[in-house]
Amino acid sequence: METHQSYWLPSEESEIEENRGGSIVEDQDTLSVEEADNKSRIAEILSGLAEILNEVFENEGKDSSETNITVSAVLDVFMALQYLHRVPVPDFMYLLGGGIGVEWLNEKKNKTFVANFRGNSKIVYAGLLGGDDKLHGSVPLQETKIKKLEYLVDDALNESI
Amino acid sequence: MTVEVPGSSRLSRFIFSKSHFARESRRVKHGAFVPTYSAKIQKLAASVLDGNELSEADIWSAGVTFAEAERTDGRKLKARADIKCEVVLNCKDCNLAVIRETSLHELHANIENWPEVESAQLLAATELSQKSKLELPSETELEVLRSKH
Repeated sequence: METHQSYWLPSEESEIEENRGGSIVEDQDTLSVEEADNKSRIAEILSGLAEILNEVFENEGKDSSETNITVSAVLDVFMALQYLHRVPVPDFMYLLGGGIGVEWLNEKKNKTFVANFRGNSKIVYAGLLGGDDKLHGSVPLQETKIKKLEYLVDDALNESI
Repeated sequence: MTVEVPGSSRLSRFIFSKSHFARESRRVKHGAFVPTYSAKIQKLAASVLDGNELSEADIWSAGVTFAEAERTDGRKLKARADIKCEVVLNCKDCNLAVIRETSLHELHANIENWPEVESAQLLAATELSQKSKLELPSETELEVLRSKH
């Protein structure tokens, strides 16, 4: 079975290094390209999530019943995007009724793949893949289960297909 | 009695989140059409305005004085998604209906009859967003409307 590094948590080594107050310069020198890419991706995910959370927080306290985003929804999105690490970081949006939606778009091919997260450890997805080619479904948020999703998103975004 | 909106009508779905549209590419995203449970009609619905007979200014005016004013979360109107009613009705495999609900506004309607399965709802919302047209307001115009209201 294919396995993937769980890079959203610091590796044991880097955590130990940080706890020891190790040299930052040295850490950067030894940073692999893959690790740098991972960190860049995490930053992009967090930035996208922060943007929609800020929008929700601006209205916090007025009536959050419609616009509330649960912590579990945020965590679900974050975890799913770690598992789906072969596809680009999507656009994020808040969902009426609570939750987070994400969207991958291939404008040239007129293909769209979307997924919603309600914080219930489930991904609900749908794809418009050109013409009458459509799909929808849901998968539990488990690495082995959502590999299919990664293939579908990758397929939708692939220019050569 | 349910009254269906004619297929020729232009429906406007008011948008209150900047995450529900892409300004640069002038696209509506699926989040704008995801339905919510309506306590009034006790089913899933996406609220729209039948703006067929209205001018641009009147549609934005309704957006501010009706849709924005009715909100309890203080969100401001950001944009709207326009879609022909017949496009909603003809959405393949969706089987949606557009039903008037005029208790708050005489031109208000709901997109109803959403599929039971959540992923099918998502597919329908995505189709509607793709087939709708993004309209952006002039901020100055909206401020004038708000000050009048």
